[in-house]
Amino acid sequence: MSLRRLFCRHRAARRSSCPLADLRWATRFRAVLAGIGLAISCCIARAEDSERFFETKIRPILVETCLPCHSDLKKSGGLRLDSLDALLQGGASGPAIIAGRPDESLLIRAIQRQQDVSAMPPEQARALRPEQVADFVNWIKAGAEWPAVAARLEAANHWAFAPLIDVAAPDVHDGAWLTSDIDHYIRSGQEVRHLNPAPAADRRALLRRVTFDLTGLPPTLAEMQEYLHNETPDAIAQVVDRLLASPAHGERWGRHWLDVVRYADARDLIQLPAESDFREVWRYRDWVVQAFNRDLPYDDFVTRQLAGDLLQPSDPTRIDAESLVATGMLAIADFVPGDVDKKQMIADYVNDEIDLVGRAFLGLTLACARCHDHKFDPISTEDYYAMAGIFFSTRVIPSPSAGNTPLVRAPLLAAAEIQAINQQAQRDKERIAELTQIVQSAADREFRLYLERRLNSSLSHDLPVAVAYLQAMREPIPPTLDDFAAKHQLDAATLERWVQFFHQQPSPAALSTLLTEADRAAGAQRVAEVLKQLTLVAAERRERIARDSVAELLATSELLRFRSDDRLIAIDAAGKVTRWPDRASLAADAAPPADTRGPMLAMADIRGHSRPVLRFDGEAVLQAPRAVPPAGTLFIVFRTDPNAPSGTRIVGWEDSAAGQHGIGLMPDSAGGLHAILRRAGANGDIVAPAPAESGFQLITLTWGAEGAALFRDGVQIGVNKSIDAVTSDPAIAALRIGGPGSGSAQRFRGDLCELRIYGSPLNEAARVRVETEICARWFERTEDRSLAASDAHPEASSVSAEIGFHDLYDELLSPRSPYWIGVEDRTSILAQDVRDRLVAQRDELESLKKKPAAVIPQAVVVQDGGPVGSPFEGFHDAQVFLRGNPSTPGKTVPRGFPQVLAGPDPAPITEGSGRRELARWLTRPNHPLTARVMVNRIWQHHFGEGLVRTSTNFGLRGEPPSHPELLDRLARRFIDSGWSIKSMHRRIVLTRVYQQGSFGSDASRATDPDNRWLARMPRRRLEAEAIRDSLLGVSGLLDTMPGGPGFLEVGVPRRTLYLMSVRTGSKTADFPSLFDGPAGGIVERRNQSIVAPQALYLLNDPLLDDVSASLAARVTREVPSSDNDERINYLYRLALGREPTATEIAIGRQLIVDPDVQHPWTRYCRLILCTNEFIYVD
Amino acid sequence: MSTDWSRREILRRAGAGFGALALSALQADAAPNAGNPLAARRPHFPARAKRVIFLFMPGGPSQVDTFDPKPRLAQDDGQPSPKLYLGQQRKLLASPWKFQKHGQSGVEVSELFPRTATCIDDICVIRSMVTDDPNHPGGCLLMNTGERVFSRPSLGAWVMYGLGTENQNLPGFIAIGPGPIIEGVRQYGSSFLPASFQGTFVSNLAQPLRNLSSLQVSRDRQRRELDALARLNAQHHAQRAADDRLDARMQAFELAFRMQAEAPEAFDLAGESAATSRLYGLDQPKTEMFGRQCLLARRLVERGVRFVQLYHTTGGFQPWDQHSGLKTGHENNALATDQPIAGLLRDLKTTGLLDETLVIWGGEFGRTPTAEGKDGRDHHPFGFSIWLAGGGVRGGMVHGATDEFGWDAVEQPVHVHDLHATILHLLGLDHERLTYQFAGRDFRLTDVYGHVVREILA
Repeated sequence: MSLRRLFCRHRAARRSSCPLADLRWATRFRAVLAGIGLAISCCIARAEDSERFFETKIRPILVETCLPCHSDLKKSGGLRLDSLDALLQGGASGPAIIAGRPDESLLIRAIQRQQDVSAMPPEQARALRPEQVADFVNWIKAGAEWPAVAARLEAANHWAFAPLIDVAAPDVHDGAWLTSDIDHYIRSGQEVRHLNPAPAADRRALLRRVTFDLTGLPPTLAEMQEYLHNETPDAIAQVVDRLLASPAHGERWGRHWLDVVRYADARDLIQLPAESDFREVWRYRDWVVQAFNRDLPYDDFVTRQLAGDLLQPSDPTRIDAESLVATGMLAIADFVPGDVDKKQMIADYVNDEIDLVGRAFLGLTLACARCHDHKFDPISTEDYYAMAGIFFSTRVIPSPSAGNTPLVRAPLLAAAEIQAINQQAQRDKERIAELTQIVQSAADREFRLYLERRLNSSLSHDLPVAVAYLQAMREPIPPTLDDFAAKHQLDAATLERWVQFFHQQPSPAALSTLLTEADRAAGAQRVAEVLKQLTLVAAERRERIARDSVAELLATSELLRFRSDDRLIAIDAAGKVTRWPDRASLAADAAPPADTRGPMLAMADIRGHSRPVLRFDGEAVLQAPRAVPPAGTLFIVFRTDPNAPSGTRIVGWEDSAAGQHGIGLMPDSAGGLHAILRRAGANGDIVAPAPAESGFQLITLTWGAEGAALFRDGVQIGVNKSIDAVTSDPAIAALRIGGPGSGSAQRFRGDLCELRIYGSPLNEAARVRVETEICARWFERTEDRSLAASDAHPEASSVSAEIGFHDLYDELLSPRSPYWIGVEDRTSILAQDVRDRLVAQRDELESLKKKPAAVIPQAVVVQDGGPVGSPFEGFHDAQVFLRGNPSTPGKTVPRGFPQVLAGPDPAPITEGSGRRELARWLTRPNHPLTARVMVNRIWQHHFGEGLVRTSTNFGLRGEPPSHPELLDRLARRFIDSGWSIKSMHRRIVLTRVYQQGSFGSDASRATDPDNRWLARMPRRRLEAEAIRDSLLGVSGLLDTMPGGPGFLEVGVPRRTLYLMSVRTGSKTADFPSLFDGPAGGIVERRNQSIVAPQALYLLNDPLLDDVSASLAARVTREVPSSDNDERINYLYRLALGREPTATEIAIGRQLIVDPDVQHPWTRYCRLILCTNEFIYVD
Repeated sequence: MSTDWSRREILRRAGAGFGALALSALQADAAPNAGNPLAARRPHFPARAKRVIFLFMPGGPSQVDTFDPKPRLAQDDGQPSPKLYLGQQRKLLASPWKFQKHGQSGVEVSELFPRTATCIDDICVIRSMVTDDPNHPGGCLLMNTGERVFSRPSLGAWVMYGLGTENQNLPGFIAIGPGPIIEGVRQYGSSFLPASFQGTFVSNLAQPLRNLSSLQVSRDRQRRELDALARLNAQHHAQRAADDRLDARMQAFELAFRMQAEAPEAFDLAGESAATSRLYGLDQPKTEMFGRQCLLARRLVERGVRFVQLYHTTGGFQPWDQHSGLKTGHENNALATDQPIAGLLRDLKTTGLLDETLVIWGGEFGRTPTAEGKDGRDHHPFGFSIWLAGGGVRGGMVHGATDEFGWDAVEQPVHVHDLHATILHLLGLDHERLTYQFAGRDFRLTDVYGHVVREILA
């Protein structure tokens, strides 16, 4: 291997094709490496002095200052400065350095900027500082040592790369102590150092230790009793089997594994959209837990995580969901999202995965070789890019889309199942839409038909009677209403409503002349004329509906119709609208809610004509009772005040205070528009820009199964296909016009002309007809027509339009009609069969709605092949990125594995990414690292430290194993057992060394303070999860429900494994981080910090309030006698697994009888939970 | 020895344990293994600064509108820029604000910061900052942790690791951000350093720290409880000689008891005079929020908190990110921060704290001299301004320069790693010696880079 390759080449300037490259890269000594994760960083060696000197003083300057111009890429002056050979050989001007003779070295004279040589670097601004020059002088004076040489030689014989050895432990004198081969190795190590093992742990301590170790929970009272009374010689082996079979075991050991694979339940819960986050990864967590519980062989465990997507059954109707889920390990790659440079982003996640595979499976810091050959381990950049080819040919993102990039997801059902589910869901969806439409409109339609029938049958009799009565009222002796009604065969209530109908203000224009006719005959004639006209209107409308499907659609689905030029608008003395009549006739009118007021009725210039508008001033609001239709069409003519604040809504079914939304239409002052449509809490928006001209506009919004679309003046301006129905909270029962704003009191400011809502997404013909009609009314009229004359049916020309018979007919179908019946009383007028049908339809709708949504379970996974549309699409060997920079690719390296480990003549990877081959290679029985790394990790979690203490670094800078022969023996046994992790637990736990006490002798502590020789069991602080789980466990609160999405509230009494963890820490409980929980990256080993905020948490946090109250309740409940001593005893057994001493009982008594405190038992229990004994396990 | 020690014995014992630990820690670079990791430690060499207040301006304030006047921009306003940005040629945009010389030093400051400008003789402006990442997440991580992608300990965490903290009754590293901040805990976290070094994040200024009060019992009763706890722990410990952690945890409960009394007081602004409130702008709605943050920072450093990080979050989680609306955006941001910052500097100066308190102002990068849209500026990592004050920094000076348009740092460029090295240097820490061993390697804040910018040292 050439020396040149050993050179740390990172950090030189990048020159081309970087998005920022135009900014004069070449002159920038510290180039903005825009992202090149150069900082993968080069490690600071824990090295010898000379090596350290070179690495910290010399190499960085060579790399940063010299290499941009003097490397294999660019040999200015024929000189390269990237290896000792190159320096000694020199360039056009001769050798650059002469070892030991700085004064004669050209390089020194150049950086000293002596006159007779070219000053280096050429720019004065970048000249080396005097102390840097001095460093070079000293380095050359000392012989110009280039330390990588030594590292390379050392590497060849490194223990971790050598095959497993099988050396029997040397003889030990203390044969009596041994129970297993593990003890043999350990005792031998002790004897060499004259150490003696600690006495065996007492049974209580041992049970507590092994229970925490294997399940993360304290032993229960019953478990303790059972064990203490079990006199059989293999009592502890029975316990171990019981613990290994417990579901809690996987929760404990699954967590250990999750630490290694930088698990988090999400990356971010605030800024990233869900599709760019990995929030379904809890399925992977659950899979890991299950894998440990069923003792999935480790080789299988490794393989599925690396290549589960490639292990699918050949039968396309089947799917191996579990193996897909397992690739979640790769899917949760740690990279910065939303980067502008997607190529860089892909290179970053590839790097993360190499880092993960290296540290988790191989115990090697492979990622160090991204920019330069590994400084200490025999891992070259070529080795790195051989691995990188595998991961560049694997996708975590489907393709490099702009902005936040979504992640790859896969359904967890076979295609046929998905199809069946989708078909059923589609059928249900259509049926729901249909039924909703039917149910909502059917009652209205039936009632409307009833009203029309009633008008048809009764009007010709009732109207003349009512007119006669009103005329009779003017006579000197008016008749009573009851008498008159009886005399004319009309029920009194109907007559009374007729009277009200005539007296409403303003009264319908068509009726106004009826009462003023002095001549009875003329009056009767006039009544007859009115009746005739109304009959004509009715007939015309029926006929039009019958021959015109569009008209029928419009007539049957119209829900609301408001116009600001409606003469029936009621206003108060201040000109504020108090009632806005609904001309669709079937719902109540719009009115301001209590404590608010309506808009002003004002005149506005609309395309040259002065027209009445409703003017909203930022406070006014109207509301019309009606729920949001799940599918529908909304038409609105309005303009926004150019000075209006943003975020206000002109119309909407919303309660922003309660965060409930159905639909909102949000105009901005520039004329742009934002439609917000919400379905079951999920938002769908359509955003449309402003038109060229501001002013009044007609906006149409349709929504339904085909998606939602927005039109301005009949032209589509926005669409969102993903919204297939709108739902809102049932509490929102009214449409709000003019409000609410988003979270603030500010409401809409501007003018509103017309608003119509239909309960179905109108087809184009219907939509265009309404739009044409509305445009004609507001935008294209050449002359101003009287308000009374306007109506909704301009084409109905045979009826005397100028008197407003259409309006009158509408009035007679409206809530003001004499024949109106309130919603609650209508059932009586519906035919039984209609009623029955409605009830059945409503029931069907309700049951369909209650049907759980057909969710196809999905997992975040990886797929084979680079991201589609990226330079890495498909399967490719990777090019070496010079200095880690994706913009400076070098030679192509075949996909493969680090040469030092690859074995002779590895088979080339020819098909797919090579992850399957990677897994196969890792799990070869003769792989030197895979088994060693895993058994070491198991050992670490039993003894607090691994035999190799740097459990993610078995390289030359990792720590060597304390017991290399033992490590290899365990690794060999692990493989021979079929990679059984549970067997390894049994093997380790059922030893004398594991079962010794934690007290240890003074001699052992003095001789071996770090406890490398294990002459005592280390005392360990519980991890964050075990602390919280113990608190919940002893207090009886623990809910052992396994699996599922993480929970956010720390007070939920489930195991801490399931408490939501997020890489950015947003929205998460502070408990885990306070007690050294994982921080989102690869965790080699948990810290065991001791700080005051932990004490504050235990002393004061509400979680502990609950726990200690529950524990106190448990103690008092389960010890019915009120004997305090007995209860204290019980508390100790529950919380600490032992009986209290007399002193401890005395202390407890004092606390319990304190008259100062309200719940002394709760306080006392809390104190016991605060003791060192509770969280330190002997 | 009786296993039931008196409280006095226990405390003496716990105290002695700590004393010994603290002493050993003084000798070492590395953090203590057991005992109190937060105990104050001696720096590598005499420090100029004992504490740091970092006024972080997320989003990236524009250098050419704040501290780096470019007359050439006014001259060539609207002309195509001679340099490309992201491959596009954009037009130069003159600063909407005038610059003026201030103080005896005559350092130029834009009219955005009239009050900060009055303190200019205590401020060292670095006009030649350079960073590696033009995106917010990476830029913020680099500025706060020295690394743009991977999880690394934050600047404050490194300082805690190096120096511990002076007041055990308060957290030693406090980050205050009333609004959410990009990348969250990664900006103030401890990553692989022990969790005790991570920043305590304060978001709700009304209830800054959790679990400071026990609502259930009187302080007397709690004292009796803690005495009982100490006796229980002592019994446990008596059988388990020489485990420092058990001592340390006993002491942690004592510290917690004292924190309950002292920490709320530190965060309580009620006792500040009306004049002080005005000085920090607490009397004005626009300056109140950042004013509170600044006043808290002063109270905290006064009480020996080692590192206070303030995130300016009034107006969004990266308020300085003016891709459009530069004029109103920067004006609002400057308005919200100018009076509070000037108040802080003046207050620190008056009380003498400024001598030993390093104040740093800046964002994750600067902004382009060219226009984005009609009235915005884009992200710009190649040359931008930050400033430092107090804590051993020369006041009234300008270090480094960008070119005539404010694009590239052309004189004395200062990379973020250099800034970090300098901050550690001012705190008496050699950035090359402040290392932490993790996964078989020694890590440091500055990776393998960083030079102390000696020119700015007083």
